[in-house]
Amino acid sequence: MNLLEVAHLSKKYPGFALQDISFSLPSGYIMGYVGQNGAGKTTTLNAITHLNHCEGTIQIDGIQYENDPVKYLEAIGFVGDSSYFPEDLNLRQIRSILKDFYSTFRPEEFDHYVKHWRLPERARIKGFSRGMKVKLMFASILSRDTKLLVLDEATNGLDPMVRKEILGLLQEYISDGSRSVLFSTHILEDLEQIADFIFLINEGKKIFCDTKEELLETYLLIKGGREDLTPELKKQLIGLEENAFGFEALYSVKNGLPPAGWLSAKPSIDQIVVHIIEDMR
Amino acid sequence: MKILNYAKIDFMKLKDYAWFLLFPVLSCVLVLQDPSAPLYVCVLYSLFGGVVCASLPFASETRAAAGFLQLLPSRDGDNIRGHFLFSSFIQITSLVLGLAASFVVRLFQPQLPFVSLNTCGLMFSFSLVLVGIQNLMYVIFRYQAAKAVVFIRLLPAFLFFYGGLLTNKYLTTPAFSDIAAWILNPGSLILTVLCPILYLLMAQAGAALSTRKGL
Repeated sequence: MNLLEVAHLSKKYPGFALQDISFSLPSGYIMGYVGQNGAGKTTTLNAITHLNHCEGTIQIDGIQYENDPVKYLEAIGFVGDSSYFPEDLNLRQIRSILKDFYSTFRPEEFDHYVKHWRLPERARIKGFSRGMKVKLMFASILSRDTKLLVLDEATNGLDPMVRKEILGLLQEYISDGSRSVLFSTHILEDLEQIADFIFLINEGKKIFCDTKEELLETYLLIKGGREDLTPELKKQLIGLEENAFGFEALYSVKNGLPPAGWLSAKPSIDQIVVHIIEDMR
Repeated sequence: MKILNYAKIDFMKLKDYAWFLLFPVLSCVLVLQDPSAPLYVCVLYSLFGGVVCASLPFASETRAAAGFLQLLPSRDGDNIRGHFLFSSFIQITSLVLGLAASFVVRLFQPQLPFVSLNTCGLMFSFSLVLVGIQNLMYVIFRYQAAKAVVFIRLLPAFLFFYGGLLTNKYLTTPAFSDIAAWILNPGSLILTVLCPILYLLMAQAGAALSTRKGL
């Protein structure tokens, strides 16, 4: 069953348009939502969390915002690239707000995360470090029943240990098969570790949405000398990068095996994304 | 219920603006120093403090913090209705504190007549409309040129204050006292009832505008 269904999402801003974005995410999976700065990632995520209004329809676990806004918002847990808590409040006040608004909020679980991550109870949020703020956002969403976590650059700027712990938490979150994560990040290494699906967006348009395995099996990273490049071969290459010593590009195995003499290797998600975006420039 | 919860968040932030409680105290001092000043000045000063303070806890909120409020499960625009509810609580508190201050002053100057209910009602209702205008300005201008917005937002409060002072100054002139008498007697009841209704309409308009604008 699809937990998240996005259909024909469109939004126009001066100089930018999100164009007919459609995708679905089944329960129990993590989707990486990637693209360059300004590609439309945050616009899409803001539409899903209903921070911005877009044309199109969005359903979370079969619920549309227009039909039941409270249930829809209860189903979402959002972690942004910066803390969204009112900076003048302290942790106790945040707990009180969450208790007032979320019917499934469990204060004892929230306290468990607070103790585990040693977050100061009385200090104002504005005094928290970036890592502490991210932990607080995670504590607030993991201590209630959500169906979908929406993460917008949530792991940026975190130290490797915290990042590792958070990636572990995300995998644990989806482990019962009833919940999903939509994860926008520039750290594609994180997606390599935990994502099941990759969605690439560029200039407001969907480029692809495939399983990670399918992507890794579709492309090869090709390297060779400049003398090997013929105009015909160039046409088959994706995101060709030439330098003084040779070239590097992606090659789709759908075109058959790469020509003999070229070095080929399995690319990383990072390399696939970079070469595809390079190819579209 | 959710609207009340949103107002509660503004109260949590009010701690930093507790200085507005000084306005009634200040009004006591000023009225005691000027024996010719009528007692309603206490209420006027206190309501002025309320108008200044009624939108401060949320007027300077960041886009991210506003996003947090919008993510909380509720109906569209409830966060804005919550701000309006908070502001009305502040004005009620200011009215009560202003009246308390006037009673304190009267202990020392028993010759002064009590503030009439008409005057209180009218001043309160008028202050509510000014707060409503400020809150609408907040909805329209939020996240744009922060300093200019603060100035524009506080303008109604100062108009209220200086308007009140001018009223006090000219109330004794025959032409003005006739107008004042008309407002304070037959018109006051209508205005006292109309202003809160206008305030409710402004809250609804603010909620609708905020929903339409998005974050």
